[in-house]
Amino acid sequence: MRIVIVNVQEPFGYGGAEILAEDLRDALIDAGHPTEIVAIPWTGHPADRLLANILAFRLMDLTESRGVGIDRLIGLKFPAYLIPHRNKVVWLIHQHRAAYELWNDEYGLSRLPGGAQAREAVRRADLRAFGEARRVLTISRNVSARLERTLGCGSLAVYPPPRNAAKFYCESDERYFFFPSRSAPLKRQRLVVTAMALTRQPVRVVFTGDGAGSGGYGAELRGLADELGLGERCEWLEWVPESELLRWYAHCRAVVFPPLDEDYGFITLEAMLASKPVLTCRDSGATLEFVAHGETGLAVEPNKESVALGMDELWADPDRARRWGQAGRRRIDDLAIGWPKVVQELLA
Amino acid sequence: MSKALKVHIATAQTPFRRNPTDALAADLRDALRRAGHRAETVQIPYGAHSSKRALDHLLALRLLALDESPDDVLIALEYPTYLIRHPRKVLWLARGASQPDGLPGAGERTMDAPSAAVRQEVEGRACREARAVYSISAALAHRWRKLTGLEALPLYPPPWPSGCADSGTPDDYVLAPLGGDGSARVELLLKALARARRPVVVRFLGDPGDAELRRTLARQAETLGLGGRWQWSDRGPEEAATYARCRAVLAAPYEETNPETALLAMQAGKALIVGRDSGALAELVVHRRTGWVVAAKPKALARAMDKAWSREDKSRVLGQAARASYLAMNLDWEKVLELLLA
Repeated sequence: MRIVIVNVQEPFGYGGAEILAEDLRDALIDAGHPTEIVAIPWTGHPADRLLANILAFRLMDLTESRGVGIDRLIGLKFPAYLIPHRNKVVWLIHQHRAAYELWNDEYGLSRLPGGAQAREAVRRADLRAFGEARRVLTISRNVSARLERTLGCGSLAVYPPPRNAAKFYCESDERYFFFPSRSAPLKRQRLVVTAMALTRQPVRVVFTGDGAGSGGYGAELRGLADELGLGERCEWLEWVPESELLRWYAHCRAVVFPPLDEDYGFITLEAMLASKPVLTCRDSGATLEFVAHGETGLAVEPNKESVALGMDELWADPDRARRWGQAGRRRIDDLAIGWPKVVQELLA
Repeated sequence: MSKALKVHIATAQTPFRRNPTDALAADLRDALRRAGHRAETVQIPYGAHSSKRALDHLLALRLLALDESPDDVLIALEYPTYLIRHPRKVLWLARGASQPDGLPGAGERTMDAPSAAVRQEVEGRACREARAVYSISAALAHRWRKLTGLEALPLYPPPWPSGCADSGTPDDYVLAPLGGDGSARVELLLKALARARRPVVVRFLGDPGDAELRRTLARQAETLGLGGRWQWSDRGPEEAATYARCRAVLAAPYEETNPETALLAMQAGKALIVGRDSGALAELVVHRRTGWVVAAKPKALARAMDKAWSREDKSRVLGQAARASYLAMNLDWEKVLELLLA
């Protein structure tokens, strides 16, 4: 079967979606199917441009390539999955969130002229695209729940494996928490920094992500940490190579990851693979599909007081943190998340 | 440096087919980054379609938007990427060879007249939106003018690898670099080799993944009784040395639009044997001054190879003149960027 994975390429962006597309491509090739990624450049704003882009993607043709048929199209994100194909499967990473759960957020379409019209156009386009798909799969039950809630569309959650899962390991606790996410408001590093000012324990947190550098949200976070007098309790890393990332996971006491309504959260699984407990929040979305409160980590209320209490609890009892981390590892092993299952579902 | 820009370099993507323009896009991206700009390559899906689908696809590309700020630049390297609207669009046409891919109408040979008229109008409009139109060779500019009626200014890309220079005593082979698109007229080169009077050996330089081409070569060489007079080298890290050690470079593709082989030969200080109809290669060679420009026939190519083989001193002189000519062109990325980002 000749397969095209269709994704969008947002300007100068490379992250989880791109990694997932690459790993999926490799898994399909390993399974004997010639596969390519078609990543179409796209910028989602302003709202009036959104309408033109929806039409553009509906007009594109990926049914064949120079006379050779493309047997299956796998769409991952909006608006890539809008491209018509007789054998389309959607493996949804997320819908256009600005039109749905982030409608009233500072990045939502409600803030833009023509936003309501754009939202309706997105909704109709999604309904058509999902309706014409052979199957609709998602990367998590959280994404499936959103799809059901917003469009009444049923789907099956099929978890993607983290890249290089076999490389994660666990070693001695070197007395820090690890927050290995790109710096972005939705990941809520700010919540953790403000919580650190309230902890009773001498909690240390190592933050990573490209926003930890100069400018933007990263600079704002560092300024806030200085203002709160956190000093060396916060460590800010720029981009780190994989070997170092693995090491940071291996030696942390726990992973802190409290995003807002996360689509999936590879970080949660990576923490579990490294046998580390996870501190997350009760509104963190798909992290809660993996973190069992009081068994493999903590899921607390999304406010600085509760996060501070959670960090204190994990910091004060390293033995229990270790046991929870080991329990997390057993759980992720039991889930047996792997590419063969993903391939099987996508090609069914 | 002037203000840092955000640059998108666009090439076409036909799934499951290699696009040679991607290599130039990568070189351009790296040059932009070295100059302090943010740059990335983007690929626009493209395949041959029926009339209706071709127009749908054309409209789709006209509706795409890549710009986010006044500092954004789009450098479109081939069809259909220059259809994208952009306030700061520059064309640096790179595709050609003997196939029409990369220029308007490629593959859509069966388009009905009304559709073709619409396409032509839209393509013309899209091109006129550009701040400037360049091409990687005069041959490509000529083809562009024939197809569109529009002008393009030749702007040669600095070849890779750089610093490639004559290594001294040449080895015993004439180098024949091959493109991956079947335009090299390999059979012609083999027939020419068979007619050479001197014990010329030709080393073909090709894509390591192209097993089919190697089989074709072997079959044809056997038919012509060439025995050990042909060799194969893979393109790769040793390519510069392969150029540096040859006696001369042989290339006779039909209406080539990519000047890379000629520029690499000149950079390496090697005389180039080319066909008169070899487009961008012939435009860079001065007959009997920097190489030989001959009829693209086995006999004429064979005579040129004999001269290159038997007159090492003459070959060397022509090669040195070729290198001087290359240096006088003063190709460097700084100048290219200055024009593209003006």
